[in-house]
Amino acid sequence: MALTIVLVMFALAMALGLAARRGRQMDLEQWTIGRRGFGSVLVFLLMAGEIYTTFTFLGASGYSYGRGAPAFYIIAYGVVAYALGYWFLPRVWRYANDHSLITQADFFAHRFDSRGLGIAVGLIGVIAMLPYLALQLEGLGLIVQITTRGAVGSTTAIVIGTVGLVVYVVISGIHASAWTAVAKDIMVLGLAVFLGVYLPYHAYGGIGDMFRKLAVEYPRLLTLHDPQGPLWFSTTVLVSALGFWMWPHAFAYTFSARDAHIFRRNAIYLPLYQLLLLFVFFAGFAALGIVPGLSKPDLALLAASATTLPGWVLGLIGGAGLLAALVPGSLLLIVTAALLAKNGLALIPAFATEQRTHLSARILVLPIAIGAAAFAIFGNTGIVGLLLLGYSYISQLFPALAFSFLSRRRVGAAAVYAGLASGALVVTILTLTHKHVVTLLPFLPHALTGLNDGIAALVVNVSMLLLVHAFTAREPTPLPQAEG
Amino acid sequence: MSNPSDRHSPLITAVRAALALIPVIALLVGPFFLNHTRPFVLGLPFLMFWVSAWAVIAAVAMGGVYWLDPRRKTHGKARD
Repeated sequence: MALTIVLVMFALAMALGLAARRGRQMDLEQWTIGRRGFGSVLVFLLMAGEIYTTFTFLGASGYSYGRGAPAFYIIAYGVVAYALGYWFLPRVWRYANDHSLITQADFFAHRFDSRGLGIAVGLIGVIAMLPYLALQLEGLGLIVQITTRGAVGSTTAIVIGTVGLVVYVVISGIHASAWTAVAKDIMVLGLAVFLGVYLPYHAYGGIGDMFRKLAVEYPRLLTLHDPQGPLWFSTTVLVSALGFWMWPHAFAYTFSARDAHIFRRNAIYLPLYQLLLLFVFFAGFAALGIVPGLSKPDLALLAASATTLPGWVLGLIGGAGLLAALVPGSLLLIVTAALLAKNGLALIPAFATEQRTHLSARILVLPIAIGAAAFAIFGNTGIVGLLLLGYSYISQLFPALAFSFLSRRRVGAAAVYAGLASGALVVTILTLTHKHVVTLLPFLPHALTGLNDGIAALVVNVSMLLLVHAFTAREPTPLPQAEG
Repeated sequence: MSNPSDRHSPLITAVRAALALIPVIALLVGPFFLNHTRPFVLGLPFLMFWVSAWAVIAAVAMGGVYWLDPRRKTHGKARD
């Protein structure tokens, strides 16, 4: 029964994705950003698709199950990110629209008048997105395997999911993502609300009763404690909010909008939509009363559902999980391919025509998808580490973007390079040595325990950017030797 | 409302900035002082309630920011 439902959902997603192509002349702009024609609803769903991925579905419930209150940061950072987006997304959109830009790397290359910076930004983007894509596929495998009670193995599910993804991405591009996003959000939200009410009721007799009992059973669960104390919470919310808009695919759905007001209106509704994550948390907390002591907290929601619910409901969860992987997965795939084709291959004269760039982007989809699927099947534990590294790299783009809009005098590419490189270096050192800023620099006060490492990297980044800017900004004035 | 320029007044700008900033500050600073399980509000532990409440307030506040936005009146393929 569950298997049938999962297969029907998969077929539905494919049909929607392929139908999305109808009546459209495809070129790179159409394929990557829907020729800047998406209205409020589609842009909203693409933005929100970012929140309700398999990673959030499993990860957010797993975080509340495994750690408790630190999970609330996921709601908080979304709210901060949307408030931020109100002010700067319209500016980014207008600039891209005025100059017909397609990718995030285009944006940086054009804004700072440096093709090299475009390559660097594109490279960072690809490095960050590949593990993210692999993680979506891995989540898809897990969800399908558990909800079909092993009838479809995780590897089989990943392979089938990847094949489907490639087919509809190559044919319909971002239109496939947008159309499936509608079906996905209806499914995922319906199930999240159902599980968030049903599981606490089943395990504890209600949501209020659940928290009252959990507060007695696990006295530290529902508040923040070191090393994830209030300072960790606050700085992590800030860094995540800054990084949220720096993803290459965030630029893609920003560019896909029809007008700038879409971002301002969406900033009103998105915080409320974010609140639906509460139900995912409720489900995660309830799992403590149904399947306590799991070694992999990320499986909490699925394990609790598998013990308490009939096969057909599990099938719906499997179908929703499939869609929750396909929508962001397709967007990641499109944007990675577009970056490699437009900001990499197209620099070679033989590939430079618009037609060839578009063709190479669509061909590149296949090797990228195969790479990500292999990573998901064989990579195992390394993926989350790579994702965190990618996230930290990506958020290092924020100062460059902020300065390019804030300062009246243009910040040069050299200053941006310096900031990016030093920030990324700090991130790499901290990640590779598995140290935190406070442990690496023991003279810092103990009160700074929990400080997000991204903050340290951003501080270094901004300092270097300003330093180099201060030097390079003098260049236009003639040097003394030149005068003599 | 017929004259959009009066919406550019410094007071309106300050109000809009405050509306956008207050929820952000509440979320970033609140947990330092309100890291409690009790009292339960609407069945939620207090910290969870605090974060959720500010998500709702942020939606209303951003509605205010948009309502007071001098560019709101431009229609169609708005260039800003």
